[in-house]
Amino acid sequence: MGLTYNTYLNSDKIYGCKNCKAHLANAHEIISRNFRGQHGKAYLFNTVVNVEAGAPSERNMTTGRHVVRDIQCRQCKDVVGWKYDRAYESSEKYKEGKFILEAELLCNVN
Amino acid sequence: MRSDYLDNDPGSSSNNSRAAWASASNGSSSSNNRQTRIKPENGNNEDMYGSSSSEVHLRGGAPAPDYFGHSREEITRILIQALDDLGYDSAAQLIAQQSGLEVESPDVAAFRAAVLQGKWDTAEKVLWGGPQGQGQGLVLAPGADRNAMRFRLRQQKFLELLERGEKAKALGVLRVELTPLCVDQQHVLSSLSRYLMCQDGEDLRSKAGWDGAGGLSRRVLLSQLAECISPSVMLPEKRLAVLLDNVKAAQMEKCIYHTTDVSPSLYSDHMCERSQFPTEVMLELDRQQGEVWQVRFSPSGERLATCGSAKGVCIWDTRTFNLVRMLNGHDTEVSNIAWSPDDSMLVSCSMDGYAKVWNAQTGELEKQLDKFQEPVSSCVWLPDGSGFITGSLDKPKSLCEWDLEGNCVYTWTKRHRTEDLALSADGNWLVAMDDQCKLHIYNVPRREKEWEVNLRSRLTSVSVSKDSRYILVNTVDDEARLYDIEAREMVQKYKGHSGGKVIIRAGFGGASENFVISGSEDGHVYIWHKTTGTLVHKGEAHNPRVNSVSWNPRDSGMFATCGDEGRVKM
Repeated sequence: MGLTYNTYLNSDKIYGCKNCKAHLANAHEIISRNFRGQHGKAYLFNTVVNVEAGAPSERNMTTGRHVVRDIQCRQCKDVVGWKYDRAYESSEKYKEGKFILEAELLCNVN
Repeated sequence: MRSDYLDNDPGSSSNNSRAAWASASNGSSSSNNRQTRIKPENGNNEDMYGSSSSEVHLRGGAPAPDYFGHSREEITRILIQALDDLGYDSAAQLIAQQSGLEVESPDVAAFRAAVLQGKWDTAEKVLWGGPQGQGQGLVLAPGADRNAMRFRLRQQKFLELLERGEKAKALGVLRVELTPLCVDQQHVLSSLSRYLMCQDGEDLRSKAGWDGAGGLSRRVLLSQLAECISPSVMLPEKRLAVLLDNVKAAQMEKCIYHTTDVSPSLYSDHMCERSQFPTEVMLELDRQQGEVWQVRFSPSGERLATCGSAKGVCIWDTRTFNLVRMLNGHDTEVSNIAWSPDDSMLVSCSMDGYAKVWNAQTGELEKQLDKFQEPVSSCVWLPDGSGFITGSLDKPKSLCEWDLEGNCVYTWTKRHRTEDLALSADGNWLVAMDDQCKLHIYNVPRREKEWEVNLRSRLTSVSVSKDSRYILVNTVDDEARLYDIEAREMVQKYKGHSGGKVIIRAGFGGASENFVISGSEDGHVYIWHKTTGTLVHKGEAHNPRVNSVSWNPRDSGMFATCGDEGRVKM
């Protein structure tokens, strides 16, 4: 697919892929820390970089039914979280188009 | 027709006071007056030529006042100068006698002699035209500043006195003659006074960047001053050559398919045929696995190196197109390669943070640089081959200069990441492209940053033309732009190809680098004419995309493209 370089963020606190340290998101742009994933704590972000989204699937989550896609690190292909495509409950609509990164799969890059 | 006659400033009439047309080698300014005077007489030149001691015999009676629309005087003087430059002295003198024109007036000749011999007072006198202010001195070009010229003369005088060790006299010059001229330029005065501290001539020469009275400095001074003197009085040097250069350049610019390296002959107008232009695929090189991301001809044009997702670098011979060497040793994809100026070495940059230096003849690994934390994106060699500069996405080591031993000689910056690099052929400018849409231009000899520009769209490649004047950047927004380094502005845009998220490279190419060539996401190779920006050729090349292109520096009829399906086409 051609030569591409990773995107790099500018911040003093950046979360990166635990495996390959590719930049994923700016820690200061967390929208909410009130999420839980399969591996524990998870954070909601508006934008993440260097990820590829997989196929959409419907899942029942604690907050209701959603259509989500797993996102994986572009470089090492490890799953790092998921992205909300659709939320069936109106109170959960705010999540649509946003990303969840699981804290367990992240590391801090300076 | 009338406007071709030079309208000289009225101020020069004083110069002509001694004009007596009968004497053969007369000052040219007098002839100017002569022209303007006879203008109302329908350009009938009978009396002009009849009274001179030598006569001009032309076919058909009275000689034409102009040469097919160009002023006779201008042409003759330029020709005399050209003949002189070519060494045909006697021919030049003969023409001077026959036409009664001179390349430069006696005033100017006196000025020239005074400057070259270091007789500064004489020079100033000629410049100002006599102690009593009689006459106006030398006629100057519009906008020239007599004071500035005077300053330069005195500065040279000052430096020469210092060189000879006559410090007291030099100090006197500084105080009496230079200070009143630079009322608001204190820094100039202070730098000049600093030179007083120099120990001797050597020191002075190196500090001031001046090559001494015995060197070329007087000639250089003369050329500088010559620019200020009106060109009608003192012909700019090599005027005919300059004019012909302009003509050739204009013809070459108009030639859309320009492919010859030979300088066009003056006998006929220059136009290249389309058949000479490389448009067909001559050969495909199929030995690479994976995607090919970069293709580069060696500076001599004899070798071609390719690299890509296949973790190795392939070197091909450009005459037989055989695979000559395979450089294996990277564990991940290789994103970029750079040939040393003498073809002997190759640096490969890979995505795992290693840059390796290889011997291009034997294929052996010479050096491996310490691992970078992020991918190494690019590398450029210094023009003398003594070292190279790497660009990397690793911020603390983003732009580093290395010597051949693998030691980091200098860290240029830590402030931005570098995705692509280009170095001008004269070794003056280093252009670094970062991942935030910005170009950073560094001055190499001074090792400092000159300027930066934000192009507002993600850049994918950067390169510098061989004449070190232009920067070409390729952006993801379907556009390639040409920037002038000195003027710092965009001069041309090239559209038609498509960008995207992938690195697509563009570069210069063709005879005298008249073309801009680029790959594209749509699988075609695009070639534009550099100055006009018109699309000259669009050809299908690869599927699905053309990653990089390279034009053979020695054979302007050959270029190579590489694409994602692992093939390189010539």
